[in-house]
Amino acid sequence: MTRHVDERLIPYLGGELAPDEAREVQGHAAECPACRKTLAELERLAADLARTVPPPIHWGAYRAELRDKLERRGQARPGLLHRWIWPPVSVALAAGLVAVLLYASLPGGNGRGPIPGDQAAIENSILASRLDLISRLELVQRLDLLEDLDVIGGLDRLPLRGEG
Amino acid sequence: MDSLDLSDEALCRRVAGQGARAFDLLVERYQERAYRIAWSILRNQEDAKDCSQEAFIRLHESARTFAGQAKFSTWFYRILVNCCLDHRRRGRGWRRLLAWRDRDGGETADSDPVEREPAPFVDPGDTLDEDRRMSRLWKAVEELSPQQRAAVLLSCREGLPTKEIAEVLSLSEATVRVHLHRALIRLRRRIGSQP
Ligand SMILES: [Zn+2]
Repeated sequence: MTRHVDERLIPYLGGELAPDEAREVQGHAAECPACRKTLAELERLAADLARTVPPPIHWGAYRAELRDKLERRGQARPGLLHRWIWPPVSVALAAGLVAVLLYASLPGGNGRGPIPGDQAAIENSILASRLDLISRLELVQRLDLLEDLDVIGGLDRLPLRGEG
Repeated sequence: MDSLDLSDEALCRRVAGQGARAFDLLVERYQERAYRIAWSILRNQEDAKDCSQEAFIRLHESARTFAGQAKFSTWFYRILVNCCLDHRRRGRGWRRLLAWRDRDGGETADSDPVEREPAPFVDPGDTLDEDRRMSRLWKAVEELSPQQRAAVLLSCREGLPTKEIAEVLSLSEATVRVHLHRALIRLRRRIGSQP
C-alpha cells in the first residue's frame, strides 16, 4: 500500500490537487480503511458546514437601512460629504471671486470708464448670481466687501508715495 | 454600456467616481454572500446584518483605493472578514464578563441569555441527533482561532480556493493550508464519528 494521504485529503476535497495526485489519493483511500474513514468524515464535515443557512432577511429593508446608515455616516463625518460637495463649491467660489476681482480691476470695470458705476454693480451681481453658489456665501453677500472691490480696482490709480 | 453588464471591478471604479447606481448594483450582487459569510462567522442575525452593511459602507468609502489588481470579490471579502473579526474581538470582552457572572450563579454557558441562538437548520428531515450534531459542530467552529474559522468557512461554505483565502486573510497559501488542515482535523475530533 502507498503512504497515508491524510495531508492531502483536504486539498483533495477542495479540488486543488493535480489530476494525477488526486488519482493517487483516490487509489490509496480505496485500499486504506483509515484514510477512507478520515476522508468520509471530512467530506461530511464540509457538507454539514456548507448546508447550514442563515435566517432569512428582507433585502429591500436591508438596502433601505444601508442607505440610511450611509447617509447618517456622511452627515456625522463631514469629511466624506466634503469630498463630494465642497471641491466643486470651492472651485466655483475661487473662480467666481477671481472673475469678480478681474472684472473689477479692469480699466473701466468699476464705473470709471465707458461703463457707469451702477451698471457695473448690477453686472457684478448678475455674474455672482449666475455662479449661484456664491449667493449662499455670507462673505460675498456683505455689501461692504463688494465696496472694497472698488478700492482694489482703484489701487493702480492711487498716487505712489513721493509722486505728485 | 449599461451598468448591469459591467463587471464588479468596473462597477467599483464607478463607485469611486461617486456612481450611486454602481454602488446599488454591487450591493445587490453581493448582499446575500456578504450576509451569509458574516452570519457564518458571527452566528447572529443582527450582527451579521450590521457587519455586512458596515462592509458595504467601508467599500463605499474606500472604493478609490481598489487598485483593480485583485478581483473585486477578494478585495471586498477582505473588508467583510475584517469587519466580522473586529466585531468579534470587540464583543468578546462583555460576553466573557456575562459568562463569568452566570458561572457564579451556577448556570451553564448554554443557559446564558446572550449565548447565540442555535442556527435554524433547513433540512426538513432533521432529527434531534442531527440537531445536536450540528449544534456541536458550530460550537466547535466558534472555538477555532479567528483565522482558522474564517479559512474553514470560506473554503467549505463559499468554495473559495486556497489562493483566494490567502489574499482575503493576507496570509501565505502555505499558512492557509495549515489553518485548514488544523481546523478540520480539530472539528473532526470534536464531532468525528458521533451521530
Ligand atoms: Zn492511509
